[in-house]
Amino acid sequence: MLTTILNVSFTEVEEMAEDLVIIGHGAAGFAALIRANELGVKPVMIGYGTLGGTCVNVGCVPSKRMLRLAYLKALGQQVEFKKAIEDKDDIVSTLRKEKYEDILNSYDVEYIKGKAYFISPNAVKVNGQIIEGKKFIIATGSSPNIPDIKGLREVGFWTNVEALNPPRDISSLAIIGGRALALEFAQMYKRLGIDTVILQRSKVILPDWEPEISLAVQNYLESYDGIPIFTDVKVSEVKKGEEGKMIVTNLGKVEADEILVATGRRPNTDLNLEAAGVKLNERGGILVDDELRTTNPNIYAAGDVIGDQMLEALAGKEGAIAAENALANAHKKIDKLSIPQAVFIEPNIARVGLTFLEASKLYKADYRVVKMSNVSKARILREDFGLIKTVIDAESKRILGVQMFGKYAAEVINEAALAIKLRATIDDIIDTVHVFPTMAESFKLSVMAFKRDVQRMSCCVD
Amino acid sequence: MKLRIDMIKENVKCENCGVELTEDNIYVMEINGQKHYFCCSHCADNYIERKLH
Ligand SMILES: Cc1cc2nc3c(=O)[nH]c(=O)nc-3n(C[C@H](O)[C@H](O)[C@H](O)COP(=O)(O)OP(=O)(O)OC[C@H]3O[C@@H](n4cnc5c(N)ncnc54)[C@H](O)[C@@H]3O)c2cc1C
Ligand SMILES: [Zn+2]
Repeated sequence: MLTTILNVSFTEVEEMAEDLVIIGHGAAGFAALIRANELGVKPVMIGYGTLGGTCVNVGCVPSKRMLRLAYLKALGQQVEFKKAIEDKDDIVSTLRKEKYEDILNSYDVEYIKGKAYFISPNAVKVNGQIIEGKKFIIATGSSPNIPDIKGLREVGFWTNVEALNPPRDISSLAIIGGRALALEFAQMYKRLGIDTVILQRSKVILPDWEPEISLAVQNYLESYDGIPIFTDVKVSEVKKGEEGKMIVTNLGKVEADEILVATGRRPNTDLNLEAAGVKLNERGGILVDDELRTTNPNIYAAGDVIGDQMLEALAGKEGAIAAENALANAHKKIDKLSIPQAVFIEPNIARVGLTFLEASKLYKADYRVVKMSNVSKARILREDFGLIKTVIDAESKRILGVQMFGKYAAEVINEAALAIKLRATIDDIIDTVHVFPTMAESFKLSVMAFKRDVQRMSCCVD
Repeated sequence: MKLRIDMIKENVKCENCGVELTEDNIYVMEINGQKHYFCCSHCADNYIERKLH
């Protein structure tokens, strides 16, 4: 009798359970939805906040549009700050409609608006409704990380959200942080007519990058953009100043109309994960194996919530792979070495693979640095600021890492990413004819520098 | 308001010989998980020697 009742209820649960529940409606969530449909599965997607998540609303898209307008202004075009915001809003709403709203309507999905949390290893609750699932993908993204600074919360501050949708007019902005977002906002605001200053805790800006890149970028932003950069800064307090907000540090004080906190992002893990048996990693993100499976074998995670590199294209890749691994047991992995990334100041900063320091721990590493002044295209453009650094394994001659600060670096880095993905050697790059004159030749030159003095070469020597 | 900056500007220097570092002479080394900046690998080695003795 008992067995019969149990059997019936287990079967019912199985039948009621959704094949796939995706939590989050940003890049990773959408990529998972699309791949699920391609595999013949209709998922449930639960999303909280504005459809599309960070990238399209308060991340890549609006920041890159604002940087473009800032660039046009630096070239002499008339760009008024308020008009720039309107223009940015137009791109954001258009792209959100085309890339998320319309896409959602064209796929087979049950979309639920609301905040989900786990109530058991195979069920979540949203808006009071319980949803059971055979598989889950957590793609809940990240939020600004706010450091614990005395007075900061009382005095108030901006994050990327307010900086991209300013609630009031300001004339000056003090930025705490010295990584990608801090640099992008500093140049964007400065070029659009608002004074900025950067206060960075570590000894250099971009502390995880090659040190040559850190210093070349600092030099450029200070001398060409007129942005003061202070490093090795320890902020002790934030308080009301005479006119604005004052930041007190070990090196003195700064007062500005507003403070932008750009000190990294933290994974959104507020989902009652203990109930599901999902553990966190040392970065505070969701712990996954290299197939993106969490400590609960039926739950996967993708995107910023893992707390690894926080990048739009990586979030998309992970979303698709998580869906394939969850639904088709595909055992797919991501080649982490070849994930490129860029900082979209002008000129761009971009990287892929290992730094020399990282490579030296694993290989007999070697490197070359080539200045953009050796690159014909940079000279033709009269934008020959910056450098490229390439790291190789001196034994196999394989390319391990490339970092570039220079015109179109965010485009050029894709070639370096492919080279690393295919585990190419320096000869593979040298033997590939590159278009003359292009900035991509800088990568080839940096590789040729392992064999000859590139300062003593005519154009296009092979 | 205009930015009001009352700060000491400290540029990054070689932790061994004190020379100011630029993109042309910067060398980074990790010691006990912390990044240290030098003007060349010799200065980095000297620094470690000094710390050891
Ligand atoms: C200012 C800025 C500029 C950037 N620029 C770039 C760039 O140029 N290039 C680049 O590659 N990357 C850039 N990034 C990073 C990029 O935006 C992110 O890596 C990417 O958007 C992460 O996607 P995701 O799907 O993981 O998370 P998100 O897009 O954040 O989506 C997660 C969604 O899940 C929702 N959610 C959270 N908790 C729950 C819950 N419990 N239930 C339901 N829903 C929930 C969130 O509200 C959110 O809508 C930038 C980021 C910022 C902030
Ligand atoms: Zn020195």
